[in-house]
Formats: sequence, C-alpha cells, structure tokens
Amino acid sequence: MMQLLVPSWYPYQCLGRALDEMLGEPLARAPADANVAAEHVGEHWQFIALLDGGEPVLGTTAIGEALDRRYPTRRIIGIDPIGRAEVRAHVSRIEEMFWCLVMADMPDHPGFGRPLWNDGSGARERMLEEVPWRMDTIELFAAKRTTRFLSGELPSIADAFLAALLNTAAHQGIGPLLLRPSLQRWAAENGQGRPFTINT
Amino acid sequence: MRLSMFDPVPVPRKVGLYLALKGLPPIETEQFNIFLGETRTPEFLARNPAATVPVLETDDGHAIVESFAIMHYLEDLYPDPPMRGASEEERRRVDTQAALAKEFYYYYACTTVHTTAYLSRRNPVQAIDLAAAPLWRIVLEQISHVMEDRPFLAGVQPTMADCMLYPMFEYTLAVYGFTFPPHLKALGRWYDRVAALPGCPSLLLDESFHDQLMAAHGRRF
Ligand SMILES: N[C@@H](CCC(=O)N[C@@H](CS)C(=O)NCC(=O)O)C(=O)O
Repeated sequence: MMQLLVPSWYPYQCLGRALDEMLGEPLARAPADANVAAEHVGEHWQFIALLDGGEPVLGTTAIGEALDRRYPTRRIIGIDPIGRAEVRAHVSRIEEMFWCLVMADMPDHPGFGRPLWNDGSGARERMLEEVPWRMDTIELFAAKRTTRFLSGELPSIADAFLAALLNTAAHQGIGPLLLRPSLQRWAAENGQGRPFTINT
Repeated sequence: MRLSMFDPVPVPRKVGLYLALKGLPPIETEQFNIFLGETRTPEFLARNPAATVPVLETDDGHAIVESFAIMHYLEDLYPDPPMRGASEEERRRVDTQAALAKEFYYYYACTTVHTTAYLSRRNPVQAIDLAAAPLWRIVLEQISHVMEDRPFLAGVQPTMADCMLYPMFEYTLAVYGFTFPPHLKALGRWYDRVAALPGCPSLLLDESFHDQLMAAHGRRF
C-alpha cells in the first residue's frame, strides 16, 4: 500500500494535505516513526516521502511523478507533452518559493532545536526577498488562465503545490506577500474545499 | 526546435549535458549573455517572463521553460534511450535524485548569494549560511545515501538526475570554491566519472567571463 510520510513540521503538513485534496482522497499516512532519513542524516531531519515497500520516493517533484503513474486517470501532470511541460515548469518555480519559506522559518524547525540566527539579523527578510519576483511569473500565467485550474480542468500537482505554498505563507503571516489579483481569483475558485483548503 | 542557452552558467548546462548524453540530433542553439541583460529584452521576455535560460521553443511556437521541464519534455517525446530510468524502480530513483539535486542547489545558491563576493548584489547576511548550510549538506548526504555504490546517481547508466547535479558542482567548484564534504567520497568519485563520460561538455570560463560576472553581480569589499 502506498503511504505518505509527512513530517510534523507545518510546511510539510501543508504539502501533505494539498496532495490529498488534489487526489480527492486522503493518502494513507506512514507511521511517524518511519523516518527514512534517520540512519544517515540524523533523527531530527525528515523528508516528505512516498513509501510502498521499495526505496522511498523523496522530494515533492518525485512524489508528484510517482502519484501521476499510480493515478493515471487523474491527469495530475496534465495530458500531452506541452501541457505536462507547463505543469512541471510551474512546479519547479513553486517549489523554489516553498524552499525560501522553509529557509525563512528554519529557526522554527523542530529538528534544530536552537536559534539559527540572532534576532534582528535580517536573514529572514533577505530570504523572503526571493519570493515576490518569482510569484510575479506565476501571477502573469494565472492572469491568462482560461481553465478552472492552473493548467486545465483538473487539479494538477502545480495547483496542489501552490495551495501548499499559500498555506505555508499564511502560517508565517505573509500570505499577502504572495497573493496577486489573478492568484486571488484562483484561490477563491479552488479553495474552501473545492478541492483545496486555502488560508490567506 | 530552438534552444536559448548561456553556456558558461550551470542551469542551462544541465540541458547541455542531457542533450550530449541522450544523443539527440543537434538542436539549433542561441546564446543569451545573462550578465549583459540579454534575457531581459522584450523579445526574450515574451518567450520567458522569468528572464531565465534555458528555454526550448517548439516548432509550433510553444516555449518550454525550466530545465527540469525541458528534460522531461524531451523524454516524453523521445523515450529512447531512457534518461529517466528503464524500470519503475529506477524511475523512482531518478526522480528522487533529480528532486534532491535541485533542492541541494537551491539551498546552496541561496547561501552563496550571501557569502560570496561574486554574487553579493543583495544585502549580504552571513547568518543565512547558518540555516541553509545544514540544509544543503543534509540533502547531499541523502543523495549520496540513495546512490549507494552505483556508478551513477540512479543506476549503472547516467540519467537526468546526473545531468541535474553535475553542472552545479562543475560551476561552483570553479567559481565559488565549493568543496565536497570529504566524507562523501562516493560523490567525489561520481563527479570524476561523469566528467570522463564521452561527450561530457567541459566548462570553459575565460577571463571575460569573470569580468562580466563581477560587473553584473559582484561586490568588492
Ligand atoms: N529554475 C530555473 C532556473 C533558471 C535560471 O535561474 N537560469 C539563470 C542562469 S543559471 C538565468 O537565466 N539567470 C538570468 C539572470 O540572472 O538574469 C531552471 O531550472 O531553468
């Protein structure tokens, strides 16, 4: 059986929930002690992972690709090669912003258990500077959207990762930094459980 | 098809290495010097509003952006020889390693823009290194762990995953003084193995490259 291992830290929880919502059914969760990273990078670090017996699938894009093969009729990476390239390009950009938010809030990561930079260092603000110009590109694309979701009439992994990104930002109190008018429309149409839960 | 590139820098080089190893017929290539703003012209922005290379334009006028999406697109069109794994098991490993390679470089680059004089146009905050260095090290450890004792990141043949990671080291070793964490010996040997592959393009950085890099992004302390 396929199981998703979702570390308890909130950015990963946002990702796990968005993947469930995209599929329309919750993926089974691996037990919290199935830490696939523990042996070699230390027990404090966990990766989001897809487990089903063989080697774990790690990383958001790899999990998206594996789910696409597991649920081919859901079209979660789109349909034809051009459409699939579009979804993968969105995902590639969205995950960079996601990592920025992860780094900006690193001192909160439960695995480190110590302050990572001094108050007032500006590190968090500098990290967050990487986000808005990247978001502009997604907004430009969303402004030309003619379909319900970012790339088509079915939710793709790009929509799921966008929902996770916005929820992670909302958790950090910086939702408005990311939302632009067209993305706001996307969130209004596809949030509130249809299928995503998006806090802004 | 037409490929927009800038040969000296690492992200376009992923696609360059991929094409060299995949053995597709040559694709028409155009160079855009990012240090001279050549990706910020209206014509280029119409192709890719993010102003980045590489971009692959298809014969029917679509612009495929993001190196990762370009490689997958070419795999979707030309599955042979497979560069993302020949079995489901290998495919998962390729995707995992490709995902980790991108994550490694992103964390590393975010650190480096704050800790090197060659990319310090944003107000540098050295403290970012404290948070991001553990992240990229953890990801590298994981890559090395997933590779086990295989010759390449995901198996006995080079794949997309190798193409995602090798150019990052090639560039950062030459430009930012990156060093492999010494205990990750297998990764160092992997690097030499990729460099020795027939057709692996070598990175040639002449003096003008460093002048342009410094002029565009550098800071003299
Ligand atoms: N995530 C993108 C990154 C592309 C990217 O950042 N390319 C750099 C060169 S390594 C660039 O074009 N920069 C343009 C600039 O700095 O103006 C991809 O994988 O294609």
